[in-house]
Amino acid sequence: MHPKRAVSGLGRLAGVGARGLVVAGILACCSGPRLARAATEDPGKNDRRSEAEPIEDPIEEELGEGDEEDDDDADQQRTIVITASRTKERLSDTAVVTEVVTREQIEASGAENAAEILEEQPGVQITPGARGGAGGLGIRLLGLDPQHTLILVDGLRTTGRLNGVIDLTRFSSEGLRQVEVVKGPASVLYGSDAMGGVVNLITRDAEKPLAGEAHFAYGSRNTVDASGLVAIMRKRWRSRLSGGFHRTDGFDLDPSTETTNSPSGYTANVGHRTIVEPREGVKIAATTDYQQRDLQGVIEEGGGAVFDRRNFTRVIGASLTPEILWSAPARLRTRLHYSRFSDLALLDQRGDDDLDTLEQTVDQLIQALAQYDHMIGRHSLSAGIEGLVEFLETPRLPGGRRDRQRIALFLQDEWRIADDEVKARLVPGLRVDVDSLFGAYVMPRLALRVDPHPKWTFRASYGRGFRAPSFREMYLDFPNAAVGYIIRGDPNLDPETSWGGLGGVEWHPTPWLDVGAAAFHNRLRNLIYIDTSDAMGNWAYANIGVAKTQGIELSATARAKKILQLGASYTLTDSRDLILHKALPGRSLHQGSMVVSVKPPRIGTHINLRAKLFSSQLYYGEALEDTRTDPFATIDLRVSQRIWRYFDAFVGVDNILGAGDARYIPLAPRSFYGGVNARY
Amino acid sequence: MTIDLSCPLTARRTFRALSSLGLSLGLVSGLTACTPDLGGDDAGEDGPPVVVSDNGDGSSTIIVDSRDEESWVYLDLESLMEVSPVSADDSEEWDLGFLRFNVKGNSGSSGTADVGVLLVDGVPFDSLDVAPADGYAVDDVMGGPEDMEPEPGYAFDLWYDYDMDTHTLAARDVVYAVRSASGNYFKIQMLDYYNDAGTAGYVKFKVAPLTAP
Repeated sequence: MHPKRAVSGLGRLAGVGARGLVVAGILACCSGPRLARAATEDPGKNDRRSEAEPIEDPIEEELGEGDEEDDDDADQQRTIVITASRTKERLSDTAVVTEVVTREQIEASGAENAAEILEEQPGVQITPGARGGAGGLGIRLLGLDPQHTLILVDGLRTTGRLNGVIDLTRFSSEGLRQVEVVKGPASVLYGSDAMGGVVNLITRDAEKPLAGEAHFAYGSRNTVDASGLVAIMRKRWRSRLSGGFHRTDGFDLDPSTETTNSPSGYTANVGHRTIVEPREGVKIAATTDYQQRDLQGVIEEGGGAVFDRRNFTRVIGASLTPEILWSAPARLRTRLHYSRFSDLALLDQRGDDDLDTLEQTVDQLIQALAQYDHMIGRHSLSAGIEGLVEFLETPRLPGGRRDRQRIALFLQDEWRIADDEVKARLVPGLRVDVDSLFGAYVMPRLALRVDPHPKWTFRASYGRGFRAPSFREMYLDFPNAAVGYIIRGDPNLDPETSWGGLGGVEWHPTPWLDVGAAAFHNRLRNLIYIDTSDAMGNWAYANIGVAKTQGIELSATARAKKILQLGASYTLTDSRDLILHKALPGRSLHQGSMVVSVKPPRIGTHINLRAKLFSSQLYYGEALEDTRTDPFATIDLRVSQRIWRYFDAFVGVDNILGAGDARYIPLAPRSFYGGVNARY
Repeated sequence: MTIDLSCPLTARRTFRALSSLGLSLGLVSGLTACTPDLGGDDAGEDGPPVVVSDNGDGSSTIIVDSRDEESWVYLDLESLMEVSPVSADDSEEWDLGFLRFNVKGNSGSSGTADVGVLLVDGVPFDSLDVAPADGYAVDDVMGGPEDMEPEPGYAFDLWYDYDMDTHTLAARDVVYAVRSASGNYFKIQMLDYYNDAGTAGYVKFKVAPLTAP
């Protein structure tokens, strides 16, 4: 899609020159922002843009109009992002590095859900949440665990974190316009969990008067992905309805055990978004989503008990976003969002019913937000207030139900210190969270961007992050009488905190080459682990962990016209548990990625080859010796061919080398797939 | 939902947005109506608390259902039957008691009889024919840090190994000589803590009489 259709925001960039100056996203340049350019390469898209009458928004117009002297820079100009500053801005102008996966990249990769989208990004590691695929797949950013990355959908917090992991396979790709990743502490804008960074899943809007899409793919293990979208756009309103159905047999990497590695079952979802502009300067967006999943797997416990596991999950979300844009460069945006995550989990013991359990977890979240943006001279000020109420019901908690309330105030100034030949921007920010369970926390962040020359950009940020203890960590009361231990929560836990910094340089020596280098450092305190030091088995969650992660990321992208793109990245992640004095488990010290994208002119073929390499990973054995895995690599290949004006056919193979093992790295085995896309 | 595209009225546009929202909510409520009835499909059968199998070589294999977390199961070694003493603390009816993975003898801090337990090191079950003359231990309160409640100590405390990785118990390959409340001698080898379905709380052991020293 063309980003121009998706935006309507404050012209915080009003004074910025039209020509893009820098490469945004050094950390992602091999498959991130640089490929963002591809979003505008679809020959049909410009045609579509002209069909619809634009929604009148002078600032949107300004954001959408880039100088198109240089294709690459123009793409940076056109891609609009929101996560880094909580206001819409051009990708080329962000003060904090933002990586973007565009709609076209999502389609080119064949990714069917957010986990598959993100696993191909540099410096990102997708990691299983629990044994048997029960916890889904989470994300590691900058070497931090999944609970330290905040997952947003359209800027709003998502529910359903199980054991610290929000399952990224829940988010089907058909409804996503783009995925934004901001690495480094972002608690200054988003509060809890944003210690390693933020992943913001941006949903699609209608982009032309009438649009329809259908997607069907069939692959190994009877995997079916079918989805569709209908969108209508008129002068004062636009609406999108999308839905999908996905099913698979799952997989089992070690047939000698009963345990499966990924569940079988289906996910079905419908999503809707309507935006109405009843009068100039007023915009109301309404969004509703529903998802239903029924997943089944097998878990083998110690002692020989085998369980058939079934999770029936439903997620409902609804939000209303009224927005007022004054003629002056000021905007008030209010949002109200409700989401409900419900998971019915059955563990059915084979041959007995003694250990059968049926537990229902219901997590409800109400969020209210008001944000006011105002430009004064060289300052773009954003101030906001955010309220959050969460209810959790689960039999694992005493009384079965808990709730918490949180209110937060945040303030950020984007100060354009210099805006001429040399550009400099300083972005101080501060957020205060007051939580009914653990009190007040203050999170500052300072970000700096300097463009000493059109070919060079320097960016650095340093800030504090925190993660509020979960209900489970505070209130769990789990006796395992069978073997005589008990795990209890601690209501007096403090939040986990971190100080983290990220700095880098981007060099754009020629229109066909981008080079980036960055370094990061995070120091985490008060990490919440289960303290098992009590020999009598009275264990409890406690703030006993101290850790650090640090490293460098290097990347380079080269392209020849629109025909060939080459990208490569390298990430070094040095992570250490400072109590145990050894590397954090499950991380690779070295990680590399490569992408080759070939689009021969005029024949409608697109070949996409992606590879990721990981060095060995350490896994702790509690009683046994630690285990170090072998290095491994994943390679995915996808070829698509336009077969008629409205149709593409595609085939692909994922994990060509068949990397992965049942215990530590449960990757999906080699998978073949093929299918058809139709677009109108 | 019908939409008048030329509608100039703000109110109608707002109504349209709300209608659209209502449509979605209706769709959602329709889909949410179907919740599967989840339930286990294997009904476990609770057998007698003590199951005895004659091995045909003079030994017997015993499985004690000790899943209950509060009530001890008491065993008489001579009859290999469960007994139900009125007051276990003051009874010579029972020799061994079972509660989850705890195995106690009727002596010392656990009872008034004189049950003794001796771990016979390095002798296979089949090779042990005569009971050792002495060295038998009785249950005793286990000492601990001053700020902790005293824990009961059972002479059988070391019958298992605990696997911290899987949180499971496994019987150690050791043989115990036991002097019963009636003064007879037996050899016991602990075998397992789980039934065939993997349920914890089924203490399984082999027992045979010994010649008195």
